Amino acid sequence: MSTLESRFLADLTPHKAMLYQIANAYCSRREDRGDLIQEMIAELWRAYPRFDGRAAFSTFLHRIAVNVAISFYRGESRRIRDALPIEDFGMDLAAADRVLDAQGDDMHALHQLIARLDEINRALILLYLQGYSLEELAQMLGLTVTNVATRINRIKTRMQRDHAAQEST
Amino acid sequence: MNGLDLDALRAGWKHSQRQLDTSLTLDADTLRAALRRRTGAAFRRHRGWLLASLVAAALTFGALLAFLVAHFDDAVYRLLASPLALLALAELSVDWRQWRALAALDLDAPVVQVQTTLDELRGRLLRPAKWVLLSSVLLWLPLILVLVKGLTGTDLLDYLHPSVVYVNLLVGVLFVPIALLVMRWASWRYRQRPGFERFLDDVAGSSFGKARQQLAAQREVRPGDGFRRDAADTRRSRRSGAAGPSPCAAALA
Repeated sequence: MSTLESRFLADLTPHKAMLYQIANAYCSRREDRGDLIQEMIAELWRAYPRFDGRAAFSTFLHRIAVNVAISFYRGESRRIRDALPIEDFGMDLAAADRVLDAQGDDMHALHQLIARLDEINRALILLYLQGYSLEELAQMLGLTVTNVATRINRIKTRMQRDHAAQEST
Repeated sequence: MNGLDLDALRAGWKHSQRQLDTSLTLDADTLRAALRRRTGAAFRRHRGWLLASLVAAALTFGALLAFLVAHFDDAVYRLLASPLALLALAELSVDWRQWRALAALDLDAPVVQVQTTLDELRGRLLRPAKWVLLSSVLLWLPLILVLVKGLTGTDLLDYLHPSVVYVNLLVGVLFVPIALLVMRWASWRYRQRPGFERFLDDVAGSSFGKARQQLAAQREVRPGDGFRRDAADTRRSRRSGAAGPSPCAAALA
């Protein structure tokens, strides 16, 4: 077993929930989520030798995972040829879905509202919810801090409006 | 939920992540095996194509050798078929060396080391392609003459005016240095450009490109709306000239 492979797996394991959350935001079907998670892992593995440790692994993971998810969502990415059922990797998506189902109404509403955003804003809000500061988001996305702040405010306003409309119906 | 407080929900999001983390496991051994299987499958596919190319080159060389033996007394056709046979032999030799190098490739070696080996192999694949291109103008007529003679026994030279052969020879000889200059310029001008690298991948064979990509460490995170940092980084490194010509561009030059 190569050292690189072991290091990659050690780095990846604590972030599996992030992969699930990103996949959940971009795919409504469970099978698609499984495929997307595998695709994200494969792309992370390809890019891993480029990871120099200057930024946190989670930042590296988010950048790649979100880009892969957007490509997957737009149907641009080639579906992986040798995909296995994700359960073979020990990832029980049904159990993860049950965890989400058991969450409160506000989290349910949040997931629904995120699903209504376009793919770029969806990425932005996912990263925002992960706890990144505006400066970090700007750095990750290659935007100015002002631009990120404006986008976040617009998304918040839109989500609040959609949520109010949802509540009233 | 009364109103939507995204900032307050950030804590909930993190909490949900922790819960998910405990419910999701990742079987490292299966994942490791899957990663290796994907890389191995890409290389097996490439070796399959390489085998087909090896068989084709061997058949072509065998046919040309048979033609040379059959027309041993005919000096003109011996002269016409010899460079074609040499080219086929060069292709056969390159394919054979590729086949052996890929068979000996240790995918467990550090990725950067494997990547360097693969770049060298692609460079080796490009060299005969370069010579086929350079000699194409010179050798297209001998190829047709030998093909027609070999398949039907007809000597097209009886029907062609000698000037056709001389003009073809002259243009073919002139084409070699001009094409060499153009290739050298193109590999200097377009080095490290994704389009040019894709073209070189196509010349080297798409299966080779796919196998290489499977291992590639250099995947650009696709720049899209708001994802321009990587593209900008790439442009900066290109402007600074930090990146030298790829081994493949060097092979073409």
